[in-house]
Amino acid sequence: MTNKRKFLSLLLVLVMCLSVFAGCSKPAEEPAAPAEPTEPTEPAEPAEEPDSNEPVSEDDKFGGVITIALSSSPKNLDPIMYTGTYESQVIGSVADTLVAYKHDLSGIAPNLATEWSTSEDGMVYTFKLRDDVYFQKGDYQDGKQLTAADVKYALERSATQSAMNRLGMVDHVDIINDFEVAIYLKEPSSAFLTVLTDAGNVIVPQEEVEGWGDSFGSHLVGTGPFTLEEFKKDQEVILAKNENYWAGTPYVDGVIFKIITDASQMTNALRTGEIDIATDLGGESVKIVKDDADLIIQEVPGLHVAYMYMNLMNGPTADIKVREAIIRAVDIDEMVKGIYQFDEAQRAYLPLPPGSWGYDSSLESIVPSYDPELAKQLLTEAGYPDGFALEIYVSNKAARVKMATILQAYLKQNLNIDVEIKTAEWGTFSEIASSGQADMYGMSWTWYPDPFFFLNKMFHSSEIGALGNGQGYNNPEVDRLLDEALTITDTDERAVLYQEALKLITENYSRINYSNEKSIFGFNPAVQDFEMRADGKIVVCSPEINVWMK
Amino acid sequence: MVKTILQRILQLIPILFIVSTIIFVITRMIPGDPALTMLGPQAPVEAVEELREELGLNKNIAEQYLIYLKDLLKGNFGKSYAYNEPVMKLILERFPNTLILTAISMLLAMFIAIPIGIISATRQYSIFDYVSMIGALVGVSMPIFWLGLMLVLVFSVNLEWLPSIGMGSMDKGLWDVIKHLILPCVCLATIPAATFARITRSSMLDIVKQDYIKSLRSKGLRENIVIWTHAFKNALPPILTVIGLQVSTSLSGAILTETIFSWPGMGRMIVDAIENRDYMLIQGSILFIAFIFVFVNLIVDILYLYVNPKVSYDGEKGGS
Repeated sequence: MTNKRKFLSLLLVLVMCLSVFAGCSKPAEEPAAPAEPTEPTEPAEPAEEPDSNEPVSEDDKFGGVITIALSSSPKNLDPIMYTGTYESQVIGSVADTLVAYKHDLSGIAPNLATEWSTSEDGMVYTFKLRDDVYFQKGDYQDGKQLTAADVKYALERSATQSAMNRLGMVDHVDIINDFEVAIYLKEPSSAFLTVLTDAGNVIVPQEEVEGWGDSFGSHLVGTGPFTLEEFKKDQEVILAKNENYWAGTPYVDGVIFKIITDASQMTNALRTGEIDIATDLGGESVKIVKDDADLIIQEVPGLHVAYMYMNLMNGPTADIKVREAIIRAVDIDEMVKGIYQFDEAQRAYLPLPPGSWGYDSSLESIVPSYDPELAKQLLTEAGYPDGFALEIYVSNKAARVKMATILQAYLKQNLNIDVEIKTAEWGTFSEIASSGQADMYGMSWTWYPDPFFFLNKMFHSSEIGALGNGQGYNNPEVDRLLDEALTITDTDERAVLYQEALKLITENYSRINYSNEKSIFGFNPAVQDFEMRADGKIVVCSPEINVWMK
Repeated sequence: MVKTILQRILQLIPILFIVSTIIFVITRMIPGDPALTMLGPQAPVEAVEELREELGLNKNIAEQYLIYLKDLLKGNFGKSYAYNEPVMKLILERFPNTLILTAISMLLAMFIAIPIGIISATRQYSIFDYVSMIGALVGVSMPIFWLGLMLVLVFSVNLEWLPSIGMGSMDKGLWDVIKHLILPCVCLATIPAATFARITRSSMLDIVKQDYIKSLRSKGLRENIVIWTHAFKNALPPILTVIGLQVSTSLSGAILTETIFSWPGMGRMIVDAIENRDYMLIQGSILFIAFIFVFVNLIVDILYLYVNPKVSYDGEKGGS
């Protein structure tokens, strides 16, 4: 019977599959062999490493691979195409910028450029380059020396083609000699040096960019401490040490960035030793790592402000009395304790993080304090004795939803304002918030310590329509101060102007600044000499830092 | 039979056309501006406008649709903006990972669940039946996320037997690949196994009560042969249907399992693409999945013809 034969053959196929499966399952019953981690990527059992103060010889520091978890996958490592912080972590390890922030972010330090000067009018920047820098070997060039021509190519490419328009202020770059370039700006910009520190403006060789074409984003080549060995998207990025790194040889043999999107799993992987550094810990994970005696937790105040915007163009919040009433109706200290149960943030007052050089703590006192009775009175004066209804938009991040919930309770209790919480994922949220459709919206901002990147982006009227100024803040005096600060190169003079602007902004009661979230990392104790930075940048090897593994 | 299969393949064309149109409409209906979402909050206004222009979002919707259809007909799935790479290349990088995970999980589920289902049916109301059906009920209602995290806590964090994340690499040997597969596969196999066990049991119960089984038994045929060849064969069609559905669902990316175990598969890529509003990548990968879905179902239909000659798609008596 043919049917019977067919059925038998089907059965045979099943049996074959079964035997394959049986073959697979056999080793599972023998867990003894792999129980001891033997891979070089897995560091020694941390529990067996007591705090010894024995001096370690220079030679002992060499070797080992450091595995660092990222919570989202880099997508494109081409500097002009990148849009997220995850890409910038990898790009920053493979390629170098002309200048860089000092590790403590106190100022700009030389990097590929040894020194620089600015013309009187602030329109021309001249850089002297190091003469001992070589590119990593790639498929299209054989580790050639970095010269002014490469700087011209890379920076002009960023100025004209960058998706984020990072170097929009650059007009052109002139080669003075092999190791000197002059960069001409379209208009003076005191933020220019800070912009040059961005991973989007690293120096990459023309041969590789053009050789790889669209795939350069997976084959980045630069002059940095590590070379890109393999970029497995959504999985891991493998870097190997660059023996020819101009600032010295990295101690570690390589760096692996592992992509772990689930926060609990990142903590678990740290506990099993599969990763050495867990980045961006928050919530329950902070407690778990703190409670684990085999792990180390470190935190630094981030260059971060979380805030709640009020619509300045439409609705009741366009009235300054209503805004003051809302600010006074919320006990911000209590709210921050409620949102961050594991002490992951400190209370904020101003739209600038305390780590920025434009910060002025004397302005903290002009922020309205918690006073429910005065709040009620103000709202009555504004013509809303019985309250009104509002919508607040937040992204679906836990900390934002908690904020909205606590705010909702305060406003109902103290002002009889009915707040409806609208939670949306990022794409939807950003469209509604930037177009000025939200009565209130909660988000956060984190960038460089230069106040330009906070104040100009969030309070200049030219940014209305972007997410930074979706509330529609428009104050000609503030615009003038911010514009002026951009034309001056002296930091102290700029700071004065920013502080004046900050005072006006704070007096306008435009929003509630409630927290500065900390940057919290978990470490395997084998990791030595890693120093966290307020901007969250992961540095394994640089002129200042050289991390090693015990 | 060849004619039937050809007919079924031709039927795929209108299905895929309709699916591609629906995908186009739906991606345009999600709120959120792709240029703004992809570039992030700190992008200057002019950069967002430039990208909008580059992505062709300023063209009217009908024009965008025609361009999309024209590209599809040429077999061009377009280029993902976020990755700056062809969509097809990105899909082909991820699909094998999802395929391995799904294939092994489904085999695992089948070889555990189908025998359990058969034994439960032959020994209805026995202790074995009760225990396995309660087990199946627990399995089918298990929250995958919770199960995955528990497996990791027990087998990775406490016992230190198995890795908690990632995909192994053949460079480190076969064992490395296998040990990375165990937890994700067990996690992904749980719900299908429970479903298979239940459907096998109920389908077998219908069959073993039928007269021809009684007559086979009365002819003195050995019980094992009665059950495993005669009864099981006739109980197969509903089981195959369920397997087909589960396989195609998992192939579209076992999103939760892939997220927990940091498995670089289709599911995570699609979720990411949706969050980024990467229109080309969303359209391309969903169309690809739709194709896989109809393809697996086509195979199931063909298997029907194979196991059950009474089923016929062209109206003739007998299928083979």
